[in-house]
Amino acid sequence: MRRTWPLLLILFATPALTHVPARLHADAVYVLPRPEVSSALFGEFLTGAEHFVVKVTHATRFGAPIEILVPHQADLFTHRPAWAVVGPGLPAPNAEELAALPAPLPAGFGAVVDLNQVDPRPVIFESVMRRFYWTSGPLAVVLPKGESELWIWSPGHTRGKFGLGYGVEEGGGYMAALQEWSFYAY
Amino acid sequence: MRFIVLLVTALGVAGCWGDPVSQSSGCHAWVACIRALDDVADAGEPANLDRFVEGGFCWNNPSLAEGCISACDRGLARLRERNDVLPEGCKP
Repeated sequence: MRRTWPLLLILFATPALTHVPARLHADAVYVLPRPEVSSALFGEFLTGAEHFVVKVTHATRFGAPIEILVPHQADLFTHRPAWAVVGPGLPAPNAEELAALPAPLPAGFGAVVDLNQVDPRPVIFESVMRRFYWTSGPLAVVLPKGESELWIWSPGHTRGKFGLGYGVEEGGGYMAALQEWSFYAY
Repeated sequence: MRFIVLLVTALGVAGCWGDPVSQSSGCHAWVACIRALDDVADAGEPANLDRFVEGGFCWNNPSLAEGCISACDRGLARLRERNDVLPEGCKP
């Protein structure tokens, strides 16, 4: 018991915050509930053909870093999921990016695309999950005012887990991460 | 007591806490470039870039700063690469 209260203190009373974690499913659009705070959105490509969609709504154009993480495991070395922000007012993607998108761009929409091609592939230690991940490398983007979408797909149709890191202002706590710890922490 | 000290130290090492750091030159330049492009495009309402500016959330601790620095550096490189006509605020 003497050792329990410090743990509880850390879980409930420390200022240590985290990205708000959530689990994505390819068959359902996920609406980001608090786009002004940072999120860690985890999912898994079971077939490699999935297209994950996250809806984001901002009252003004909003700058945020975005990156995609993959568990640092040998069998996922070639697993490089890509991400895109898709919405009105964004620039036109280049030809390679346009060809790689998992769906046609809606009329009047542009996209900021990261095909996760940084080489050598950076590795980070994620301090909440206490795990190493490959990262696409964070990219600062400005999301449009109003509604936009984050698309996540696997250009090489590889299978495996991923986590999309979005934003900076941490608003989650360790308890949220514990809810699906076995999935998040590979 | 030793257990508490150990836990607090572990959390500190994990990057949950840490001294604030200064805004990076790369984030300063990325913010300036976004503002300059907005001026050229007459974008109207300025984008919310609060986290990247001096004193913003990016600079609350070294762990957050590391991610923001990389994000700004890549973002700035992409802006310079993909805009045919660069305003003064975007030039190196």
